[in-house]
Amino acid sequence: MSKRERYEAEFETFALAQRDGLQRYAYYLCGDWHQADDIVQKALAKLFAAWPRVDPNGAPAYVRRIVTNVFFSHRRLAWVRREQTVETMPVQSLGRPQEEVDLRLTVARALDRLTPRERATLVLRYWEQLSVDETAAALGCSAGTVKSQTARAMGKLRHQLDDVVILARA
Amino acid sequence: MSPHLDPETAFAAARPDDPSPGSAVDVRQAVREGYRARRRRRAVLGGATATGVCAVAAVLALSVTGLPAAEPEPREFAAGEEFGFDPATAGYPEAEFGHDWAAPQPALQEAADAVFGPLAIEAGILEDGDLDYELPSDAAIQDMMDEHGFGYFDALSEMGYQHLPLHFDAWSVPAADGQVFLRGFMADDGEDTEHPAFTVTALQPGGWTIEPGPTGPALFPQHLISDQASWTEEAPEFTSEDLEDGRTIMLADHGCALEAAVVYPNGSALTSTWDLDCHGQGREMTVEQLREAMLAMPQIEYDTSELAPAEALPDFPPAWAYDADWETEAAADAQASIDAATATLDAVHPGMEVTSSGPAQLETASDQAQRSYFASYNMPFEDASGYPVHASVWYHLPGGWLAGLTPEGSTAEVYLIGCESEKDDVCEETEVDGRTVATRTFSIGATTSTWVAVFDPAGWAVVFETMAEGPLDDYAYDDLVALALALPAPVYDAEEYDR
Repeated sequence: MSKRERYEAEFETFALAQRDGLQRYAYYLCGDWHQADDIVQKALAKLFAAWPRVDPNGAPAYVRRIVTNVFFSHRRLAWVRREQTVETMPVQSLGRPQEEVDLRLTVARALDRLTPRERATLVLRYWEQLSVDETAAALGCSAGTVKSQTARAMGKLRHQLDDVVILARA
Repeated sequence: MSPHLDPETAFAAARPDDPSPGSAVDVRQAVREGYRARRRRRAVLGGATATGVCAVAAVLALSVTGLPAAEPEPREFAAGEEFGFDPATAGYPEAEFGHDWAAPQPALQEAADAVFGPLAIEAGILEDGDLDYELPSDAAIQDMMDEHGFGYFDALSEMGYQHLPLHFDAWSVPAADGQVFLRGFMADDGEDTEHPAFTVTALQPGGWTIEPGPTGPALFPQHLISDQASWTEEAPEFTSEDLEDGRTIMLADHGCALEAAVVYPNGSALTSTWDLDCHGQGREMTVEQLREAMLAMPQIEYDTSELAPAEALPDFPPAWAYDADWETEAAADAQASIDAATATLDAVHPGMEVTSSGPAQLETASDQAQRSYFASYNMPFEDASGYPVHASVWYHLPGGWLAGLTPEGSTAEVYLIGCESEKDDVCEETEVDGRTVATRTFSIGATTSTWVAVFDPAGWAVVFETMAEGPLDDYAYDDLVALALALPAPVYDAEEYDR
């Protein structure tokens, strides 16, 4: 009982602290808050199953990796693919300049045409603002793979956005 | 600047910033699901590199299809060394993650591939090619082990190689209320279901008896095979045969399912179960086919150096059999109990928010249940992290647990509060007005978790559990103990729970 309690307490402390951030990361990946909750719920269960051997210092990267993998699994499900449309991508337009809204819509559509791994790479690098090494840790791949995935995804984005001219705010 | 000229900037600027509607993620549920996953998760055991149906010695030749097979050469099965205690009432310590007690058993795997593979295919459970999968190379596995400090099976699991058809995984189940564990290796059909079409389990010596009886973790020592009704309402046709070579084979024909167990002279065992037609699957296998397969398997030598007798526990009210209807039946009592508890807490900290509550059956190490009512709260104040403080109340109704702190050195899972003495836990056990109060506190960084368990002489207990970052007014250790002591008795039928 003692070890179990210990693990549970450690895990709960960690999970409660990470929950909101993970939800937002999952939301960035899937574009739907409910799906994001579902992904995080599954990811945390997987994390707890492995908790005794998780290095506390590496836990944040590890759980992102699990969230990413669960997202990949979700994307493989037919119903998710069927339900997932560009309209579900997160775009908050109220109170925003029209150009920014247009940009988000455009990027959202382009992003949705990337592979899940490419999408995760870009989300981690540019929206979660992780370094190449941190992104590699979260994806469970090498730094070189992150760089090549980023380049390929950005190339696709450039192609997707090729005919669109929208002012982007730095 | 246009996006096609600078997609990085465009992409970064397009990050959605709409607010979260709030998280529906239930951390306690994740814990419960995690436990289930851990029980299902069995790291892959197997040969080193490419694995298919391996060729094995002619001695393992088996006639599944009825074609003539070579008569097996007589084999010898060496007896094991004496343990100096009865291995039936002994077991192994819980394996630490990253420390694999389970050394790869290529002889077991190869024999199973050759013996049970054709049997499963013949029965229509597996198909040709199902066993033609490849595992990572030795070097890749070793790299994973070295990089993360994993054991062999954790490394394979981490690489995604787990739960393959007829592939032995390390297997360990609690026994004697969690005081010891049985160890072995299990293979099944590879489908991720609670009821696989077949299981093959190789058991190390310890924690089980050759006597037939109800299987599962509720009894100790555990039984390998039952001669009682289980798959159907009819008792099986059960046979037990002592062979001249020292083995004992037991077979149970349930009509729609077959079970078998072989006990070897070295104290190890092999069991298998086959669900053939209990749900109309229409699979076929004869008792004789299963008997031949079981007897074609080799005796395996295992590392039993950690096998040790299990200590006896004090008597305590038995746990409950899991009852799917209980949570519905107990909903009103649980609600009344939680309402009263919330009112008590709210009187001290006005504005308590119940985030979830209800009756719950907590799975015990013996695969039974403790009956509980629980409520999770957001306290009406935040800690240093800026988030509301989390707390929960668990009422434990009589049955399946022992009062007080877990005794030092015990791994029994029947105590509600344990103290990890080698860590930085601080635990206390006191008496307050005739009630035992057990507390446990530990900190990770600035976050402190506290449990306060109050054991009432009437047989119920309540645990107040909370965690917070940094000190908080009116929420120190003594305040938490006072809160727990003030919680009212749960609503339940005392007669029904007088066990």
